[in-house]
Amino acid sequence: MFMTRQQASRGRGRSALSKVESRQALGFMSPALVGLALFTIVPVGLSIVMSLFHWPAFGDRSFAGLGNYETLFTQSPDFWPALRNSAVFTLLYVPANLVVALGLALALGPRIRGRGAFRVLFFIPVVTPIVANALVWKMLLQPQGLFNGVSMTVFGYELPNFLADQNWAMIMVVVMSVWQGMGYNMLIFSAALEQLPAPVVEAARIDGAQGVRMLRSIVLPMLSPAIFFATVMTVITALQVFAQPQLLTGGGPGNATMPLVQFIYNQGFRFQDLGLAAAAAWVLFVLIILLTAFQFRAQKRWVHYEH
Amino acid sequence: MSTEALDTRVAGQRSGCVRLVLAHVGVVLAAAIFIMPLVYAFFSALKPNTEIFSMPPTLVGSEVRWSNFVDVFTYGPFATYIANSFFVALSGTFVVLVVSTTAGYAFGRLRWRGRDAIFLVFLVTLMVPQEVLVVPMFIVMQWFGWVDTYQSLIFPFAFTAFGTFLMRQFFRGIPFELDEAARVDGAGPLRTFLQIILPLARSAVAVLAVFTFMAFWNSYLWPLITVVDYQSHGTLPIGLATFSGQNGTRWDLQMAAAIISMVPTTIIVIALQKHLVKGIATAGLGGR
Amino acid sequence: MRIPQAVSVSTAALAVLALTAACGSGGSGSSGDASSTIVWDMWAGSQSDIDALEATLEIVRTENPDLEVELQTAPWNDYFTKLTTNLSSGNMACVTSMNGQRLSGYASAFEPLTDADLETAGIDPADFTEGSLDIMSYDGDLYGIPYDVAAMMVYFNKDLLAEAGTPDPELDWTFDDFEATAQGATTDTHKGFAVGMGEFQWMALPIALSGKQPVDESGALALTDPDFEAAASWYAELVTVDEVASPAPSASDTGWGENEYAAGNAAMAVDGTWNAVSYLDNETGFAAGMTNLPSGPAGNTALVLGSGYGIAKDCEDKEAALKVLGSLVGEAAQDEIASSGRSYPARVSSQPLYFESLDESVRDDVQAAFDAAFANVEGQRSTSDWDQVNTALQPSLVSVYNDQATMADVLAQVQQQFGQ
Repeated sequence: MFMTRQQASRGRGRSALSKVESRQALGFMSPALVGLALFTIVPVGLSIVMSLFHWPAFGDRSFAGLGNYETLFTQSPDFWPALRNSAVFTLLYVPANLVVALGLALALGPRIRGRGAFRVLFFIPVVTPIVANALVWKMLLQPQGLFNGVSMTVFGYELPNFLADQNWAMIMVVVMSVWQGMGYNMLIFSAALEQLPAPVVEAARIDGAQGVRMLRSIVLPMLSPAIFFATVMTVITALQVFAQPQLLTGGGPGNATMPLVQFIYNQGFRFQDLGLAAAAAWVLFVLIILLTAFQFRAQKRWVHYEH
Repeated sequence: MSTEALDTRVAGQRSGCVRLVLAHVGVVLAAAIFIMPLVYAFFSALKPNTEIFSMPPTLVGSEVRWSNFVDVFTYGPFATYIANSFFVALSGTFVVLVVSTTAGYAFGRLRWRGRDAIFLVFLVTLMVPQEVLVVPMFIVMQWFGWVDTYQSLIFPFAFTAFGTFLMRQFFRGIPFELDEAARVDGAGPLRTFLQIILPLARSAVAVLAVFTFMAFWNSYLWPLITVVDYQSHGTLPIGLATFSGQNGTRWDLQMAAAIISMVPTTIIVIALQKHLVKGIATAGLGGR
Repeated sequence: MRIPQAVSVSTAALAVLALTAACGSGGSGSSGDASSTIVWDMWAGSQSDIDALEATLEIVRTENPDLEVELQTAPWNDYFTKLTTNLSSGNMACVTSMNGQRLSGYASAFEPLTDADLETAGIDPADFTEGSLDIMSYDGDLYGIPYDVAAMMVYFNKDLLAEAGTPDPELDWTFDDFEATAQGATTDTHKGFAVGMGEFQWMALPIALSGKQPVDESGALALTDPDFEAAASWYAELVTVDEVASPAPSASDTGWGENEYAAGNAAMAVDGTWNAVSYLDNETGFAAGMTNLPSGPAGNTALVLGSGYGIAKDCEDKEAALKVLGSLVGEAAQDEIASSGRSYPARVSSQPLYFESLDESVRDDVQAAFDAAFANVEGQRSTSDWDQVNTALQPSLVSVYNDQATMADVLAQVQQQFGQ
């Protein structure tokens, strides 16, 4: 009885079944689809339109063709520096973040007592408001703040005015960002480490693999999918950085720490040129797509999947 | 086993013991340095404003002013900011959970035409940064009449593909035999989803809930744009910046406010820490 | 069985969306929905600012019982960003507060006020301080009514000066006196002066020294005017050469000089009259004094500044908005502002109340300083992108103060960007 019913239902054929399932799927999908259409597809389309218009915050709009893009690349005094700053930030932030996160995940091995508590500790800045974190760091980095205060009283050495110095400002934005964002990747690596198949690790250990060799030939290759995922996500967040420079340095000194997103914000909401802001946003978007696509292409060379 | 081999083994154990102690010292040291900014911020919040920057720096000021934590609430509409942040973050999290689990189920466990194509669209939108969308999003809010409302704080970024992606990855890891068995028992997909699949996905849901809550709680750029009337719809992050106004920065109150703003998410993370690591591991964030 | 389930999931989801959309349009605080509600948009940071505005709002409501008036606020630092966002979506509040220096950039969003409009609002221009209406005028049109007039002043910390054995600055002092005071008050523990980051917090002294505004009489940006440039360079050298002031630590510290002064780290700073009461009422924890800007070779050059309220161009109920405007700058509201000591009112009859609000010990000094400051002020000129000019200048000032760029280069660069 049971067998025959199951056979019968299979016998109805794939097309009928998938039709039913398609309808069910549509039911489950509809909130996401409606939301995606309203709050992603429509704004994306609108931003293309806006980028092609001279679109002041108020007043008359006029079609500008590619004029905004031309202005960006040939006239705007801040656009190239903003691109440069985003690139510098990404190049400094992503490796630093990954190395620190991986190092901590490895250090917090199963033999460390209270590793759960340590993990939570390192994760705290990720979940606390970035505005609050930035304000804390701003206080520390003041010339009369803790860092310089300690250096002056202990070593008698005056540190540079970190947030006002052309080179140090970016470094401090990176340092603060790594401190704030590293815990997320640390958790990903910790989770991946826990999933390492014990027999393989044990076998390697019996073979005499230890320390650096163990890390390079066994652990890192097995972690590579997690590292790949973390890299992709971290590059994207690095290119979206806004709050840290906005609150720490105001993009300054000059435009030394103004990344692309702050450029977009300034153009759109402070200089009131929404068309130019939309165009710059598109440049950012294309950049993110290209970088992500590149990483997916390159992953075959170094990411090892089990299956 | 020769005695020589036994000796090296004992020696290895002893050096392993030393190494373990060193590892603990290193980890504790790293943790201390790491958490120092927050500790110092906490003690700064207890100082009078004029002593925030003192040479040499001190941890505790001339007096311990717990009243700063009270003054925060009278200096500005800080209680409103907190209430708004809670309301927006909780509602937003709820919306995200509903949308992501249902869509993740459809992508991960149902077979339908065009599934992979539409999923690709979702994945592409994962790469559209919020920052690209804020300008046109504000115009969309205008069309809806949502400017300066709670809805504009909750909905626009509650439909990002991250949650759907996460849930799909997780759902795909659950054995398909369960669906089949449920179907045989006469359960429809809604019942299968609610009674079988969703309970199994608890830790993934917890992870998604934590990350979503935190994203809403910490969101800065979008509220900065869409909130017009700070008194009624202001949230914590944009409110924190109001302590530096025309009359100078009240560092003491700003630090007290910053510490207060950190409390809820910190508590959540501590409470859900087990789910967090497990969820990240099982949700296949390790790249599938 | 299965299909209805699927349908019910989707309909439930859509219903949630639709419901929230419906309640959304009802809760909007914009001017577009109910023509009977007039929204008044104003900057306010702290609770005490908001309380003061609520008091004014009460007056407006009492005077216009038939109108619904609502207040909406944003902090000063975000106010103009917010206004821009509102403008871009046609969402400007009917009665919008405007700062005189920034009016030029927003004039096109405001309704020019005619004589008939003023009559509807019950406003007689003769009641306001001479020249104050110019604050809210641009290109020959009146776009609003001022509620306060202001000038930049030098505030000093009497305690720090006494400690350093330097005499207090006096009225009608010169730039030589200023330098002597700044140098005399600079010690190992604190500086004699604090440089500003805000537009007039820093520009006031270069303008006073050179007698030139950074906008020429034709309304063109003139940052590279040799006299102004020289004076601005002198100002930067207060930090880099004379070392009587410390460099700003970050471009996000928009209130650097005032903060340093208020924290007792610097003996002098330049700030507007609008902060006089909070400085002098000992909120800062030290004895404070104020005097007018020093006079340079070209005489005493100070600008009259101020803020006011205008009517949005796309306001649907203009008449009601005008009535609200009339009440906001009416006698009762102006008396309230004056006696709270929050602003020096633009309405002449309310001005004495301002001084009465001050502590008796400083009242005469303040009145003398105000009289001196307002004795020969000139109208402030600005360009239509004045706000942007300052936004661009500010982060570069940090480089100048930290000796990583010269004032001349920075001015030239901004001049090139905005001067056209």
